[in-house]
Amino acid sequence: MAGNTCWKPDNDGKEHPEDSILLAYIRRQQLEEYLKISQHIDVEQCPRCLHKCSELAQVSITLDVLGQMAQYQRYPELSVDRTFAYVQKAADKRKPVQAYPQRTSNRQRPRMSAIRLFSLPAAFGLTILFTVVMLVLAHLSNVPWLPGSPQGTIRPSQNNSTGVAPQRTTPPPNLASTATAVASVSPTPTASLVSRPNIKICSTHADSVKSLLVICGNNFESGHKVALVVTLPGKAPATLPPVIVNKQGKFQDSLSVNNCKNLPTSIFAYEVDNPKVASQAIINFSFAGCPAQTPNAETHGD
Amino acid sequence: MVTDVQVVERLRARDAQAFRSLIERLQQPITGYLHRLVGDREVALDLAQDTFVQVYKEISKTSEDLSLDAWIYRIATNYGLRYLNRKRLKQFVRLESRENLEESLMVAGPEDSTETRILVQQALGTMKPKDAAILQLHFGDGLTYEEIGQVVGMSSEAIRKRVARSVEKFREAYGEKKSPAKTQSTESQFGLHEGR
Repeated sequence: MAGNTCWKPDNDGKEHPEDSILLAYIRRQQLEEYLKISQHIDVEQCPRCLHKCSELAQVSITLDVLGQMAQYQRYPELSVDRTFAYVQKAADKRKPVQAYPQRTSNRQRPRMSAIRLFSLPAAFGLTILFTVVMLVLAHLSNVPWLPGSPQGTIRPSQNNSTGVAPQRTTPPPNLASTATAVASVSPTPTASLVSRPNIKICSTHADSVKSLLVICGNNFESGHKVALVVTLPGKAPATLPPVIVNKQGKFQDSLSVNNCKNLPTSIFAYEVDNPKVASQAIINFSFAGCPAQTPNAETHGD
Repeated sequence: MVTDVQVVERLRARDAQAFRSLIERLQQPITGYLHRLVGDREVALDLAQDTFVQVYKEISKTSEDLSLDAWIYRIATNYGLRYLNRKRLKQFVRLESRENLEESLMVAGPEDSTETRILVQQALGTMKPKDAAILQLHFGDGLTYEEIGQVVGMSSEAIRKRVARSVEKFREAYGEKKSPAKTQSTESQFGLHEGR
């Protein structure tokens, strides 16, 4: 039965069944006080309840279209044998939690709704992971991270006049007109270049014509001040005015070499804020036709 | 005449013939119910299959006095509601319209009520899935309040009130669908002016 009936008094104090009871009444549902309700509506002809019943009947008729649809719905592709075979196979093979992954191979017909909800968090996670990987790669893009990659790998060329390692004691005989030497070599050059501060001579031809020795530094702390320490032949080391390291950890400084006697024998850089951070020294390099000076500088490292 | 208790007993004993009979009797109405509930024929066919798989697996765990049809409708309803909730979440994420009804569902029925069927389904599509399911069970499949109570796990009195509330919500939604620009005609459609 549809539970206990509820009657509510109107402004005149006359009691009427509530709307849900009227709906149940016109829908011919079982009611505990069916006779009393029938008496109120059909015999007493309560105008308020008759009107409400009329409203509800209209909605009810509209919703009865669902019953018409049910009568017309047919699914000829459904077969008892196939369904039963599928049910047996599926019930025997899978457990409830494992059902979805196996469904595509087990089910009788292909499923149209292929995308599952659990793919959303998975896609979100993959997106985050991809973003992190891309950020890391972008961060490393300024740093040599693959041996033999174009950037930063020490690859002495024939044009490099004096790319001199600290271990080397004899400068190579080849003197190029333009200094493009790469220095600060360590026993494991690639690894050291990845993380350690280093400097190299990066004068272009135009710089050489102007007798300008340009020093490029890498892997210094961004925003810090870096000073070059230059040692000229027969003189004490001199510190150049510091320059600021850019966001990529690089800086550039230059000094004029008007005379071959002014070609430094060694150059290294250190961070003014933290002198422990310093590059290895460049030594034994030629520049703009000037031969390399006798090395008298020592290797500085961190 | 085979009683429900005997059928359940045979099903619990894994009687293939009993299960075939059950499928033969219920797979069309269950599929139809799910089709009207979820609005997608292919999904309804899949969910109906899932329903029978679940029946086959779980029947042995039920009691002998099980109300079989209500229990099967309950399983189907749970599958349908789960699908609808997922679908609505996806639609929320993708900001899609949720009123796309499959054409095959719209044309199921006599020609002269095609428009009404479309509007009724659209209105139900805007309601809470459980309210829509209760209306489908009562008006579409002809279940009594008591049977619906068994399906959704509520008392018949609670169902009586729930049906009344759902009908009221449907009336509002249907009125908006029928004449979106004129909300007043919602009330005149059901004669509310005189009644209030």
